[in-house]
Amino acid sequence: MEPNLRDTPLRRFNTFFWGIALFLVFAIAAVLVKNVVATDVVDAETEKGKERTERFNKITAEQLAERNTYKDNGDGTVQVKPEDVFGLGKQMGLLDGPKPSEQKHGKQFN
Amino acid sequence: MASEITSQQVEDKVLRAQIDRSLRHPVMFFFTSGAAWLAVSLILGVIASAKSHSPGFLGDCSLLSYGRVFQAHMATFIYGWGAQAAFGTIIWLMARLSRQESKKAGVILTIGHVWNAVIGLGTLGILLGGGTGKAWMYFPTWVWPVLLVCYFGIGIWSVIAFRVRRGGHVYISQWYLMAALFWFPWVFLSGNIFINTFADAGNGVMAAGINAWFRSAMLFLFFTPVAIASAYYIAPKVTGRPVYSYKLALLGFWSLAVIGPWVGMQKVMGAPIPSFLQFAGAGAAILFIIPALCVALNILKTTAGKSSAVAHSPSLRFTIAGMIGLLSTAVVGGLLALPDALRFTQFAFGGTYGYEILALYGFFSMTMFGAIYFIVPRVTNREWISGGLIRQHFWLSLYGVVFIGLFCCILGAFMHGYALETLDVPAESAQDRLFAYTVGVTTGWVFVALANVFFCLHLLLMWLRLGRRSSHPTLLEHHEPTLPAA
Repeated sequence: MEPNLRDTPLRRFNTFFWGIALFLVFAIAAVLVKNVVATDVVDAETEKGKERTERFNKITAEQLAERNTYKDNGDGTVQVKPEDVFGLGKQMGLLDGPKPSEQKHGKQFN
Repeated sequence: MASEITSQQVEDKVLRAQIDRSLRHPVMFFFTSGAAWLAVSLILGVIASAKSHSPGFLGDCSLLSYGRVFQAHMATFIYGWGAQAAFGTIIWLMARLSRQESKKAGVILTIGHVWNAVIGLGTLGILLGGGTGKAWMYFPTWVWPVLLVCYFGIGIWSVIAFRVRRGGHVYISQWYLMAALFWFPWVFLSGNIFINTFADAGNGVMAAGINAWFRSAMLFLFFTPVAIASAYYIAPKVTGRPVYSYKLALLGFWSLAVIGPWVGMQKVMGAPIPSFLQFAGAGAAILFIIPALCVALNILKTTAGKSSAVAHSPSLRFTIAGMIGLLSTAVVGGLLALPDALRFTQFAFGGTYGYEILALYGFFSMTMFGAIYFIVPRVTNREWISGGLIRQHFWLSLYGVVFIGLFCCILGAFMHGYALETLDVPAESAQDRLFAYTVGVTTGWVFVALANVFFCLHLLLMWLRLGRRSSHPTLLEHHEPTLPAA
């Protein structure tokens, strides 16, 4: 059989390193795309998201403040923090774990 | 002159035998472990599918909850079976076509073990709740860099074999193999780096778009070229004819290279990402019919008039079924990309799953089974033990994938989507319409899983060299052997 002149150690060696270089090129291209192309893009979803987050935080803070406030309602009742009346709630059975409903739902699960 | 030709033929035969011997262990390892993962994947698929119509089935075990089992089913299908069947085929085909013995079989085999260990740990990670939930990237995030390094260690030797090939000719199969070898790192690295590494700092909606692209790109730029390379090798080999049209092959290759990378983002139609990406994806999904037609026509024309070879040769029969699968994938993919169809199937149960099963099993796996039935007797120097097992594997696979992919998933998705879109129909009724289809998917997977468990055992016996010692190949019908020796 004729000798294969293409098969040289140098050709094998440089193909191996070209392979590694190709992987690195794909990785570098991805990093470039991420950092060079996308930095100055104003994203409508993110901008809207900021507004939504601001509103959400404001409402959460107001709800928390309202929850922790003691106040005389003026009708013979007072507003207190829920944990202050947990003992009472337990006596009334409000803190019991959930139980399966006895009401028929009409659906069948196997 | 006559004696010179004979001596050349003898030398050629000796070289082929040396190549086969040098690759016996890595190739058989990839095929056998791939088949074992396929059996595992299909069993997980049966469990996941059973849960879709009977939520209480194995419902007390958190390891086997639907979300985890489904992810494990797809992950083992793609990276356990699909990738390893592709690796076995790539390294054997490239070595044969480049006429180069493998000098690094031990390295490939070792890295193959690492690949399997990582898939095993990744699957365990998914079942323990560490899956990412991102389609086709289900493994915990530490898995993908390891798989990429393993891929390099497996694939680079085939690129080297191509570069130092004997003779200057480049076969059609080699175009596709080289393309797959280069496209895989691009798709796998870009997809994972943008979704798993950059996504936290970027746009989550765009990450869903990139994920949709990743699924299609893996399918069209890795699994598809490997399967096509196998078909372009097996059809001429078994029929003893040249490829029907070189120009058609050229058109098929370049149209795949141009169209393939654009497909994918139609899956997120309506999401707040640039519209041109969604419509370019839909257009490319429809245009995929061009490379599919070029390849399927070329292979079918190559085998035209050789119906007995198609009927009797397991390799050719699976390959031809795979080509029909390629055409079906292209047609169904084009139909599902139409905005009017997406309206029904985008959020319905099973539309995308059915399409992916059709592509991965009906096209890719059927072609890979053809390659395995061709390659294994050559590398083990034994013939398949039982034609009956091969026949059973073929028919159960064919009926199974048509039943699951086309009938249950895609038709089921349209039925489900139609009921969801019809606002005067209660949501419960939409689930009722789906019930029969989900039961159908489970039934289909049971039969396909059964066939593949036996396929895995058959393959294992061949690796142990317990196959038939015969000079006649195992055919699907009893007749006088007329097939040319490969």
